[in-house]
Amino acid sequence: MSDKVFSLRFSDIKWLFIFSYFISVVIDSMMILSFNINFVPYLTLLILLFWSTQILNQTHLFSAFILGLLFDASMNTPLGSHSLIFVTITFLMLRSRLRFKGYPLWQQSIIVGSYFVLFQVMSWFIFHPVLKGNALLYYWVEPLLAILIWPVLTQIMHRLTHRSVFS
Amino acid sequence: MVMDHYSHLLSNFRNLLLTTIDPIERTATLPLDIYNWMQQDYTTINQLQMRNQQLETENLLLKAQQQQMGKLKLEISRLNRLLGTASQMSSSSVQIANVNSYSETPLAQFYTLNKGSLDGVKINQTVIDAKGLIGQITSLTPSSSRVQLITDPDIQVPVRIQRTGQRGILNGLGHNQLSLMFIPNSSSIKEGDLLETSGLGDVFPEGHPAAIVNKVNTLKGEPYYEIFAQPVADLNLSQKVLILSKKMENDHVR
Repeated sequence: MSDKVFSLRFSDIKWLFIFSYFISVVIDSMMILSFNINFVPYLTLLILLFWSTQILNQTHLFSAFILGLLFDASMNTPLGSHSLIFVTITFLMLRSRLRFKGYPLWQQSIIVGSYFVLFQVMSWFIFHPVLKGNALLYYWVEPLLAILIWPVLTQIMHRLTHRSVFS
Repeated sequence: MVMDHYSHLLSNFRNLLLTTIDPIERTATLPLDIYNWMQQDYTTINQLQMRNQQLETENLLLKAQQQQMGKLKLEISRLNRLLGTASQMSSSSVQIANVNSYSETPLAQFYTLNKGSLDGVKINQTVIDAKGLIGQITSLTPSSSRVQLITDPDIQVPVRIQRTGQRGILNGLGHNQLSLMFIPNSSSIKEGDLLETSGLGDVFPEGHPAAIVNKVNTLKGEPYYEIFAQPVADLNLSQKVLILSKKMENDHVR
């Protein structure tokens, strides 16, 4: 890994890091518990992918595992199943994060979309989701939503990070 | 994953995780709470009066039915003595709980109730509403509990057809649908038959209405019917539910 690549230091953004995960877990839970919207990509996974491309001196696999466990408890799924999916996707991102950082935003979005396709495929085999009627269509539309959300999310997170580091 | 799916070895760990995310879930249900609160606030006095009148009528009817219940209980206990061993639910073993949130995702269907381990709720307790069976408590925090609904694909309920007494297993299909399995082609079953818990397996107490048969298909070359049913309980609407205690009165009479 080259030293010339800009990496954030965890100590500079630790509060933003923790707060972003907290907010994303709350929003994901809110979508399901308050609004009954089941087919929105997990914001937490998007945030996890964002931090894994920004803080390069950490693997983020432990964060992925813990967040996965929290999702398992929250969604009533077997413990470790979301962890497995989160860790797999984070690992794939770690393998290519330096190249990923160099890509334009649209290309990044498509790669994130492909990770969400993998997420849906793994969920399909692990959870056997009950999909009837339009639910099947919405299930596979989720990666497209992730493609649309990624540029907005990265812009917001970059601004917050910038403020946090330089204030 | 395997340990959690096939055994209860990790249930304490799950409870711990649920307790950790409890504040997060409470924050997440705030919009729903605010919406409910505002709806309550805008309920007119006229509506409240009508509701009160409706409840009073219902109360009167229930009291009349209760008078008959006393007589029936005595009759059942006499019959139980004649038959030998029998069990019945204690009238004091019921707890009322409010539904905090309802989740129907493609992965799981569950309620979160406002009663937890501090209120004496235990894992595997049965939950019902005024109409019928809702589900089973699967995880706990000190102040809340999770109920896996009978429509969840991971739950199976031993039931019997009330009209004939034929036993089968009710399986969740999600989306407010259930399937009744292991009913042989030779059995008598028709649309509209009520399915009640059979009490087998000692998890769900017997005699609680669970579902109504709404479709019966005969499959060629298959020994069993393909049967679909709908839950009797208002799974999407229930606000207050009853948690049945595992405390059972076992009468062993010779």
